[in-house]
Amino acid sequence: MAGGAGSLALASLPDAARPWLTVITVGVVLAAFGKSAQLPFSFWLSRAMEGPSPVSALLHSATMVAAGAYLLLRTRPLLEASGWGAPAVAWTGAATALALGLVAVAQTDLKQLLAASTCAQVGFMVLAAGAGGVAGGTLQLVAHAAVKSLLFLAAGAWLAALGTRQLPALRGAARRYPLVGVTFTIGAAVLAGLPPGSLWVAKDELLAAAWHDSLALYAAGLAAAVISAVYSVKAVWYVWQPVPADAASGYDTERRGTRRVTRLMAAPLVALALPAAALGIMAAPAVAGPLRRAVGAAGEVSAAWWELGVSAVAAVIAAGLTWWWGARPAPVPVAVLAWLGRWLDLEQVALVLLARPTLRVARALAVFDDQVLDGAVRGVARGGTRLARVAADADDGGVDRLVGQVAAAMRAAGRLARRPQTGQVYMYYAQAAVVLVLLALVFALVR
Amino acid sequence: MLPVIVFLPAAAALALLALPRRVPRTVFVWAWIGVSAADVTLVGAAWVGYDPRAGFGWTENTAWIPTVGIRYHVGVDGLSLPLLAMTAVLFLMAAVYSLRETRRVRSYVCLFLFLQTVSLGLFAALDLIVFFVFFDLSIVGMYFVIAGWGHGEAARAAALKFFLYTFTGSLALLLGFIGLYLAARPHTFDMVTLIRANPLAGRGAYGGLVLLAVAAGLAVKTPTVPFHTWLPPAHTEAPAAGSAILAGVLLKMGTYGFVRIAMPMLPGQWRRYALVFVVIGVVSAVYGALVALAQASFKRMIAYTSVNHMGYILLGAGAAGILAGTSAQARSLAVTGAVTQMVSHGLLTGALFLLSGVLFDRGHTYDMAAYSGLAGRTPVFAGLTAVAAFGSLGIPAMSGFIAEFQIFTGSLASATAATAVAVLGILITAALFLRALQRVFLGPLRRPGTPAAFRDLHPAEVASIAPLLAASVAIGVAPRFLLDVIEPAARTIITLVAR
Repeated sequence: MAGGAGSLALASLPDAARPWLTVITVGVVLAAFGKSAQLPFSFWLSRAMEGPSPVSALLHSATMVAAGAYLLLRTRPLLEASGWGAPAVAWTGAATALALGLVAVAQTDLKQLLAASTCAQVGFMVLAAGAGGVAGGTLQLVAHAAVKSLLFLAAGAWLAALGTRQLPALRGAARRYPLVGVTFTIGAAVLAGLPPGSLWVAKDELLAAAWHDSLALYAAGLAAAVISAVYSVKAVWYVWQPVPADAASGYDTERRGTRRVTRLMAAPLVALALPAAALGIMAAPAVAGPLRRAVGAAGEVSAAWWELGVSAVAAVIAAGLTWWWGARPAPVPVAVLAWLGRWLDLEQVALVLLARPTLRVARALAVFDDQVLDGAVRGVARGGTRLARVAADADDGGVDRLVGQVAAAMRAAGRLARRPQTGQVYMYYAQAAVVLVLLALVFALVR
Repeated sequence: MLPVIVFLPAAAALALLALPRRVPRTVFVWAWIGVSAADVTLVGAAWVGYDPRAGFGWTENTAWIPTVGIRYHVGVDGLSLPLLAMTAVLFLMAAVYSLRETRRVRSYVCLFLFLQTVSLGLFAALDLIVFFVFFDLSIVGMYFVIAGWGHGEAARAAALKFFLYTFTGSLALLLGFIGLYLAARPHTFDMVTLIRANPLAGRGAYGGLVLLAVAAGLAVKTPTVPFHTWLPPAHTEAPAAGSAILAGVLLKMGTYGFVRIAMPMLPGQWRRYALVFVVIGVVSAVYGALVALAQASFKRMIAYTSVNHMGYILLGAGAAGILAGTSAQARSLAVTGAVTQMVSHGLLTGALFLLSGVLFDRGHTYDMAAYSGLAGRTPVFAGLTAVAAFGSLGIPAMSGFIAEFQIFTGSLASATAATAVAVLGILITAALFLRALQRVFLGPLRRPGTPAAFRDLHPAEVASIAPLLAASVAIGVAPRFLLDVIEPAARTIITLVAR
């Protein structure tokens, strides 16, 4: 409105005048990053995993978190028009895909792993919005929604049955509940970017746009894709291990498990496993053409065959290596691993830099309000009463005393004047004589 | 029509005073409910019969004190009609809520009926002295409500502070009115004439002083930082229905005065000092929110959020006075948002104060630390409080969003930095309301005093609080019915300020 666009339609945003264009872009980008848990706002998604699994499945993977990426895909013309917006968004997406991918690798809690991987996968969509791969980004969004909902629901099924989401405690969980195990594995394989899964195609579609943009961006995206293979296979490795003898000791740490996976819990897993595996078809030329036209991205580059090959090989190698590596400690310093495990301490930073100072300021201002502002008002009131007391004292001791003295003098004069009023005639004669003499004297003197 | 709406409650109060004392207390409250419902119906009829494009409607103009040109001149337009409706609804809900009141009900009901006449009369007034009379009488009525039905000794101290502080403000206001009167040729207190005449155009320092007097008087009533310290004790000590009326209606007398009197009657001065009002608005918004965040008492916290919300109104009104770099569309949006905010704040904060009354009724303390996990025991109470809190923090689909969104959109171009800072107020308000909800309603159950039953909402409480929230949602979802009335008036104000 301020920029003179005269309308709040998304399509008219790029028409805004500078510097408002920059303001709009900053607002849209920050809002999207916050909603999509991109760097540096990723930590809230970790805490949101306290919610029940169906909520995580629906909100934190498929719809809500993706809303930020959707906004960026939608406002791609704005990002382009702003000049700096597109590269900034692309690189933030790539950085999130890399960093939160590593965070996911470092997790030992299945839902935390999935949450971090959500940030990373949404990072690909954000990268796509920045690099101009709107079709690829949209495909990634749709495919990821199916895959991640499936994985969250599977994790939820195990949590309900076994009472835990710790990966070491979930050893053999897939063997105990094979249906959950198989569907989970399908989802994880797609998430890993293994061919012929949907995310394999989607990633290459959007990385093709990145390749078009800059080589470094493509490399970062490819590295992030490899990392996604690592954390996906890591989770699969755990659940397919033989059930350890003391498995029960790790159960029921979060809640009491029912030791059952009901049909109602299994049905959505199957229903989601099919699209998760099959959505890759959307990249096939027959489907891709209409899709591209639908998202208004007809002119965008598509993935070349060699790009598909490179990413497939990279994903397969990474997956194989991860499986072979198993539960051995990662070859990085413990401190780094712990830092990744704590989601890069982003929450701590927000607490120290924002939340605590705000609360401190709030408390200080409350004291200021009570002591200084209200104190001033009370001071005025106290001053008023003190002034009133002074005035009252002055009134009592000064004005009223004067009045009293006048009255007393009058009373004394009155008493004095009563003296001669005796009622005896000879006294009156005597008084009249004295007065006459006095008058005569005065007369004589004045003459 | 308007005199009936305005004086019906006072007439009812006189009739009720004539009743013998042994009449059961519910009769008085039900009579109040009946009168208020009639008033709501009448205001509804006035709304339907008012044409927003016609300027002032339903006017009455008769001589009152002709020697000094004071006339009983009343009427409504797009600024006052929404506030009249909000006032009528809020009093009806306060009446329903008061079905649970047991202390000296006869005087209580009559006092509120008196306040109702005063409040409605103020928003209908088109004469400065009529406005001032109601402005002053509102203080009197509220003083007795706080002192008589508040929480003991502290209430009397708070009532005294409230009276003296706001009375000082209204004297400043009277000074300003006299300034306007003397500047007009011929001398008049008539608002419509004064608006048309713009008597202080080009009157330098004199005009500035008149604006200073008027603004100081209104700022105390609104209240804005730093004139707000009478508000937390008055709110905390008043009975729930009194707090709801105080916050919902009496504070609006200040903000309404800004758009009704200060802006159109002193346009040159308003434009000249617009930045001052913007700054006061932003400081009130952020400072009020921050101080609210630090409060331990639920009711005191809500009182401070009022300072925050009133800050947005002042921001919108101030931004409408800055002509540079903005369009008439944006400025009109800011004024529309400010008026919507008055209505919205009345509904939502009214509901929140009634809810805090429920909390006190059950636990006998407002201290949030004394409560925990109430949601399990009192789901309806928790649900309504959550809705009211989210509405108050400006969540979309409720009236607060419609209001604040328009204020920010309209103010951004002319007061960019100020608006950007003011938006932080929303963030802080969100934090404080969510913290309060979590502290009081979530977690393990804990409540003060004996482990007696902590009862959920009484039907009368639901019937008084839920409609306020429903109205807020109605405005949030389908605001056209309200904005269609406000927008023409806002455009008029913008034209008047720009002259």
